[in-house]
This record gives sequence, C-alpha cells and structure tokens, in this order.
Amino acid sequence: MKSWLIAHRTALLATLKLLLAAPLASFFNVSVIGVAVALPLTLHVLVTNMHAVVGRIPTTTEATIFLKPSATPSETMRLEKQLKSHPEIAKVQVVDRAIALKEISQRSGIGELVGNLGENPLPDSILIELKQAGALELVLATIRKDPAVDEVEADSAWARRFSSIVDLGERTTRLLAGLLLLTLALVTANTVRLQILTRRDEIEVSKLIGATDHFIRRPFLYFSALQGGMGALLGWGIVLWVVAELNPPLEQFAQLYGETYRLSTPSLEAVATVFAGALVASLLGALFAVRRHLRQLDAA
Amino acid sequence: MIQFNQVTKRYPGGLEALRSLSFQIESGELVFLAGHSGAGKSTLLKLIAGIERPTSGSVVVSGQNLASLKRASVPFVRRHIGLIFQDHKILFDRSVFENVMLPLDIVGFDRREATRRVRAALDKVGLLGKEKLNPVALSGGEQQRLCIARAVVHRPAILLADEPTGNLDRAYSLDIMELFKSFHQVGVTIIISAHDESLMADYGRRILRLSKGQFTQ
Ligand SMILES: Nc1ncnc2c1ncn2[C@@H]1O[C@H](COP(=O)(O)OP(=O)(O)OP(=O)(O)O)[C@@H](O)[C@H]1O
Ligand SMILES: [Mg+2]
Repeated sequence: MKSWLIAHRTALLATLKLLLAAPLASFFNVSVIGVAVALPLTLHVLVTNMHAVVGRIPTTTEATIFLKPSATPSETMRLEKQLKSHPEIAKVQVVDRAIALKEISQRSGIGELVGNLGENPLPDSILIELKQAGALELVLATIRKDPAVDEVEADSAWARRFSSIVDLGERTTRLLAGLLLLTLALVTANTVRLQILTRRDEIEVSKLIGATDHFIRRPFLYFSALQGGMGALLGWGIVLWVVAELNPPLEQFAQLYGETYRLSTPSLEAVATVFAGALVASLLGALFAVRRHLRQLDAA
Repeated sequence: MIQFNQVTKRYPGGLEALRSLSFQIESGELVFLAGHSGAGKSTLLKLIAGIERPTSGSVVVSGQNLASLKRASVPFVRRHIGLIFQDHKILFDRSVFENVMLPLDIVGFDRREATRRVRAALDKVGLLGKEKLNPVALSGGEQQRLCIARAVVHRPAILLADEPTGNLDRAYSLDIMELFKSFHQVGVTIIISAHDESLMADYGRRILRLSKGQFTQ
C-alpha cells in the first residue's frame, strides 16, 4: 500500500475511535449542527418561495396621477399634452373631477351625501399606461416633480413592498447563516479541545516517538469534517421534513384562492453551499483548537 | 554517531543540568551512563532525542546538528531512535499490542507487516502471550519489557534507555541487560542510564559518569 494511503487509513481508524469514544456526545453535536444548519436553510427556502410568488405578480404598467385640488383646467390640459408626447407613455386618459364625482355617487349610492357637499372634493386625475413596466419608476419620478401634481399612485406599490420584505428576508438569512456557521465553528473547536485534553497522553507519547504535527492533527480534522458533514445532512433532512409538513396546509390555503401552490425544496446549489459552509466552519474550528492546544502541550 | 560539543543545558529557572559536556559515541557502541539522582542523565538522553535543546554547544546525531534543526524535522530524527522513558509513558487506554503498534502507525507501516513486527518485538521481550491484555495487568518488570518492545519495534539505529532497570530486582535486571546485549549484537547503538553502577561493571563497557552536570572519572 502507498504510504499516504496507510497514513490516511490510520487517521480514519483514529477518527472512528474518536467518534466511538463518546457516541452520545457525537450524536449530540451532530444534532446541534443539524439544527443550526436547518434554521437558515429553512428561512432560505421560505424566502426563495416568496420570491417565486412575487415573480408571478404581473408588474403593472398603469398609474394614476392626482392633480392638486387647486389645479386649473388649463394646467390639467398642459399636463395631458405633456404626457401624451412622452415617448414611454402609451395611453393617457384624463378623468375630469366632475365626472369622477358623478361616477362615485352612482356607484356607491351615496349620491345624496355628495349632493349635500356643495363643493366637489375630488381633484382632476389622469390615468396613464406605459409601453413597458421597467420604465414606470423613472417616469413617475419626473411626473411627481410637476407643480400641479399632488400624488401619483402605481398599483405595483404593494408588490414593491412585498419584494422589499423578501429582500429583507434574504439578508436575514445570510446574517443568520453567518452567525450559525460561527456557532458551528465554536462548537467544533470546543469538542476538539475536549478530545485533545482527554487524549493528551497519547498525543504526548506520539510526539515523543516521532509523530509529525500532521499525524496528530489529521484525526481531529477528519472527525470535524465528518461531524460537520453529518450535521449538514441532518439539517437538510430537517428542512425536507419541514417542507413536507408545511405543504398540505399551504395547498389547502392556496385552493381557497383557486390557486395551486407548493413549497419547493432547497435547490442543489443551496444544499451544496450548506455542506461547504458546514465543512469549512467545522474544519476552521478544529484547526483553531488543534493549533492552540498542541502549542500548549508543546510548552508543557 | 552521537557527538556533544561543549553542551550546556540550562532549564528555565536558571538551573544548569549539564555543563559544557563534550563526548562522542561511535556507531554500534554500547555505553552506560551513570550518576546520582539529578546528575543530568535524563537531560543528556533528551538532548540526543531532540526532546530538549541545548542552551549552548552542539549536539550532532547521525551527522545532523540538532541545535539548528527545524521544528518540523525533529520527528524524522526521532524515528531513527528508540526511546525507553524513565516514566515508561505506557498508554493504558489500549492493549499491549496497540502500545507496541504506535511507532509503526506513526511511520505509516503496512498493517500486515506491522502486525508481524509487533509480534516479533513482543516475542523478543517475552510478552507474546499477553498482547491482548491491558498494560495495567502487567507487573513492573513486564511493563518495562513492553517499553523495550515499543522502543525497538521500528528497528531504530539508536536505542536510548533511561533507567530501564530502575525498580527491578537484580535477577530481572540482568535479564533485561541480556536483551540490550542482543540488540547491541545486531549493531544498534545503545546508551543505558542507571544510578546503580554495579550492573554495568560486569559488561566491561565504557561508562560515562555524570555528577552535577559534569563528567567525573
Ligand atoms: N523540565 C525541567 N525543568 C527544570 N528543571 C529540570 C527539568 N528537568 C530536569 N530538571 C533539573 O535538571 C537536573 C537534572 O535532571 P535529570 O532529570 O536530567 O536528572 P537525572 O540524572 O535523570 O536524575 P534521576 O536519576 O533522578 O532521573 C535536576 O536538578 C532537575 O531538577
Ligand atoms: Mg532521570
């Protein structure tokens, strides 16, 4: 057998010993890592699914411009002309305040009340429709600056709000993932520290009879990688379970609105990222502990 | 094989364990190291194995100056040396067999060849029947033999034995000396320390006498 193969097999055996020396502690650690991994991954799944929902909402190309109550008919006409010549705007329709009032009183059956008002409280308004959705914000921004304009309302406002919540969710996921990876590294560092302390005699003797630092370090790194990997696997399992649990009620809920909807499971990319993150964090934690405590043993 | 030039070892705290020692040991020699408790015997052996570094002077082993050796190279020097520690350093969390296996695991031996060698070493020291036992179950003399087996299993060129007959009766000590003689006969360079000189006299070998960190005649 090649010597590096033998070295790795020896390390693997030592790793197995580490695992079996404290099976309950190992199980506990894997569980902790699993839950730590499941939290951000679940959040990620939810956020991704929300993203998909937002994607389904047709982004509007329509907006309503309300003029100031003080705006004169000539000002309304000027704005109408201006909008009609705008290259991005496909359709412009002026709603006269008198017509709007009449419509409202007819539609809502509060004609009597309106009649008693004496003065029309509604401003003139202009409905516009853009050629494409992308330009909406830009166009509205210039319209808002017009002195005759009081307020501009685009129907996509709530969609925008929703998408900013999704954005917040994504940031939270990343932050949480970072914090939990740190936790994972610390948990691993602590486990390895305890292992080194309980095996200090073996480490000391091994060093005295010619073990390299690599030889000493290897089982601890393998152990941490294994623990991190199993934790990630468990975390993935937890998320799959959560999705499976949430789907039936979600489907029922969507049916109430005549929709079909299911949560999608985490993407392969997300799962790969989780595994890589768990492995790297575990290894870094282990490396930190090994470096620190082997130095201490050296000094002793 | 082993050469000390003006070696001084001062431990932290200011104590000089060895003072300006110079000597040379040829390849294949068997040398005794005598001296009272605290004379510096263990310190001298530790310097040869690179466990301690000289405060001044040079320690040359197999042509390599340990004083200027990089930390990472030290393990590879130790693999050519068999060490029998004064305090044994037996691992009680594993069997006799596994204890002797440790040096071969470190070097990265093929398992089958390693098993064969461990058996041979245990056979040599008369412990073959007890390979599966935990070392706790061994007598003091047997534990000493276990240490010897572990020190020679990787067939080192140099064997350093620190008081290998420390707590044993005379007959048992003679047995152990016979073991060392047999290693010497196959060409191993051996240094054996003891505070009791009576055992050494019979062998007519060179004796290095240490007192307070210096040689006396
Ligand atoms: N790690 C250490 N730190 C400080 N002083 C030490 C250390 N090791 C040994 N010494 C001191 O150095 C001197 C020589 O110690 P050494 O262990 O070499 O003696 P020795 O000849 O082996 O004695 P013994 O026969 O009792 O084993 C002693 O005075 C001891 O106290
Ligand atoms: Mg000593």
